[in-house]
Amino acid sequence: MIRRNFVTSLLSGAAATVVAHAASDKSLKNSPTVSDRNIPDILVTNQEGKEFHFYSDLVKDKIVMINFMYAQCEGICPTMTSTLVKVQRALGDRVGKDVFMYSVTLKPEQDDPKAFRHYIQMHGVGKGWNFLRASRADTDLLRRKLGFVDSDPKIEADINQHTGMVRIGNDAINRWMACPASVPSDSIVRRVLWVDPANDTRRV
Amino acid sequence: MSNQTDLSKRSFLRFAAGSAATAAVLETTASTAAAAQTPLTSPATTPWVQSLPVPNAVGGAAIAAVASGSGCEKALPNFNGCTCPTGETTNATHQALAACPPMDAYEIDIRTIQHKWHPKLPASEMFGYGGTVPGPTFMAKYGRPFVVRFHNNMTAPTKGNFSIPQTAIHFHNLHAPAESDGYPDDYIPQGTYRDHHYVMYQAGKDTLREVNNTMWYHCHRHDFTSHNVYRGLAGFFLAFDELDSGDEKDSNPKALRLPSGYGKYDLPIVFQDPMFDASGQLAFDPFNTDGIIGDKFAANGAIQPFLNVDRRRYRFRFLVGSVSRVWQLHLSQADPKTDKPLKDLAWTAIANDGNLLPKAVSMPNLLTSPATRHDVVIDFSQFKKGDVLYIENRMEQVNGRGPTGTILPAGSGRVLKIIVGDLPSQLDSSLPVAVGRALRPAPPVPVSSAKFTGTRRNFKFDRGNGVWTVNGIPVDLSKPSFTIPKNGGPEIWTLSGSGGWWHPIHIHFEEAIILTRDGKPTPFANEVNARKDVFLVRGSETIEIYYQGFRDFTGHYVMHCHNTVHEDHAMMLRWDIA
Ligand SMILES: [Cu+2]
Repeated sequence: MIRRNFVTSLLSGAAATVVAHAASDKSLKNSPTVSDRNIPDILVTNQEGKEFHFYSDLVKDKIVMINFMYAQCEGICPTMTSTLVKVQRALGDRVGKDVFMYSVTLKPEQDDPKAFRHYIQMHGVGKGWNFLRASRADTDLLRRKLGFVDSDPKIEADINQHTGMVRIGNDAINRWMACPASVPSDSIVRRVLWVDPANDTRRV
Repeated sequence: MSNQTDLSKRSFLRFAAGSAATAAVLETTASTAAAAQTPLTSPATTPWVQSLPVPNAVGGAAIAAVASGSGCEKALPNFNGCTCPTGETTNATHQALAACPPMDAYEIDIRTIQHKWHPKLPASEMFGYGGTVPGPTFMAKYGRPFVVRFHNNMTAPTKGNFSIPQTAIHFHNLHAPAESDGYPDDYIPQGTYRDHHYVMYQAGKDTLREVNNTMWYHCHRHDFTSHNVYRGLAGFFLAFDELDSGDEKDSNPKALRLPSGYGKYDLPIVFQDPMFDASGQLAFDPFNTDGIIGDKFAANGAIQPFLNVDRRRYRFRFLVGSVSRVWQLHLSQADPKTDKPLKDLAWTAIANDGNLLPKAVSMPNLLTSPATRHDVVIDFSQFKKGDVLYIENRMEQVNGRGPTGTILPAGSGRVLKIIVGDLPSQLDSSLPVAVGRALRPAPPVPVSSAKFTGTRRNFKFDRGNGVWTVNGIPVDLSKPSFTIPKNGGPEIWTLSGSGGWWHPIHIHFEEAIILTRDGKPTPFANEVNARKDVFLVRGSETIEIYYQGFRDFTGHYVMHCHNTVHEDHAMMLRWDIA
């Protein structure tokens, strides 16, 4: 809730201040890479064919881990998924209860619920971890909003160089971070614990 | 009907424009990328309406010196160099405590505070060492070891989508034992404290040459460094020795008698580029992994302040405290009536990264980047009352990749306005610093790296699959990437970039001297025989640096990009000394 109000005020305020700021010189140009911090409420479908609104059903007030993948990937995805499976096992029954894992396909044209179910079985993915697909346009929108975009158009266009980051956040307290899925799984588990304010008073 | 068709159709209604691209193409273009981002524009602020704040020095209200003499146990109960049941939560054994008994003890209270960046902006929710932004300035002396107890009394932020109320504290780049170096995983949980021990002796006990004078301390919390430094966790740390004694009237013939008098004629200034949301709160973007470029220029936590100066010599200690921005600082005289630029003045640079140079050099401008320090001396007696100068950042930069390549014209990027006033009430006792004046000798450097037979290590700063890496590997603090033998002698390291990204690389613990940039001597006069701890790798450049060795202490240290957004997204590497 806090975040959404923030976005609204940000957008309405921006228009009002543009003119006043126009006199400032070029070196003070703002970053074109600053996102509007709005996690889009796009429609997504999971491995069971169930539909969700991404933000309001899956992220709002929750601790989440979000990565991007596709089932046929022979690059970084298999390792990424197997590391995240270890993370899931370490978190145990918290996954699906107070920590939610989402893998969003980069190839929505290929990855239908059946392909997801096959992938889940093949990698030993447990319960409480949703594999999601959105439309092509929504997939790209979500990826950009989460910061997994490359400013080099050549790299951005090359599916083999797709993001290997995991976005970790706690929407309830608006604390967001990201780490590579290629680091040891126990260090990813620690990062999930770091976005939980219950752990602010201790080392985990 | 397949799920896919169904999905596409429904999405079409919601994102009509985007769905035109629903055809199965993987390519995305820069224009669609841009469409998904909303630039943030901070509220307008009037420049030059507030004076340059100066952080309190140690001994002021924020920090209490609680003891003198060697009895730190009495001063800081439970200071036993290891796990403390009431607070310290890592089992730090202070390896040099017996050898360097502390003579002073300090306590620092770290709090969540309200800070006004500008009179017209509401206060922003910040973190503050000692409850201020910047934090209080430590004034230390070589030969006088001390301990600090850091109390984390921060509350979780209620504004913004960034920060964690925990901190690791790095004294950048003090020669500190590993357990007091602010290693990223040695963070202090909320409601607890941690004790650091600073030995205050020079690397290799080279009391003449290995002295660091202008340093800073800042949060190094693993993965949250960009968030927390941006939210205020930074301050200056100045150290004095026989040459740089902080006393311009010093009768010691070795004393350089540089302009002195903390806060008056010896001024530390941290430059930053914050940005604010429409309500005037400090804004950040944790979803940006390239780097944060703000749209306000601030000095010591104030947006575009002014400074009234006396007509005498001053020492300025510049620090870039930005998250990602590269700066090029110019000293520009302006017409007091029209504010139009009149002429540029050269800087007289006396130090690089806080280390006095072998001799003072003239610099047309100062290229600088996050964590780098530049000390300069300006003699305002050459001006007349009412003259106006500006410190300007003319480097154009619009994203985290690096500068655009455009150097903006004079009059652009004004950060600080300097107004020349009267003669000082007391005569200037500092000695003149003409270009070429000898300052501090540099430690020995080999004639050529080609003949060097010692250990070499190479590091490539790269990006793959959206992940920042060193030698292709993202950060893993669980084990060292390599271990250096203590006192094992000189080493040459090379630092290389790629992909057009600029990386200010910081290596903890020891200072190094740049041998070459892209195989040639450095083109920057203030890098010649300069001991440095931040090396700005510009694009695919390769920098070769020379270390005297890794001396005196053992334990875990790190090297990382000081574009702290890169650092927080894995561009860091652990190395140990054993
Ligand atoms: Cu970098």
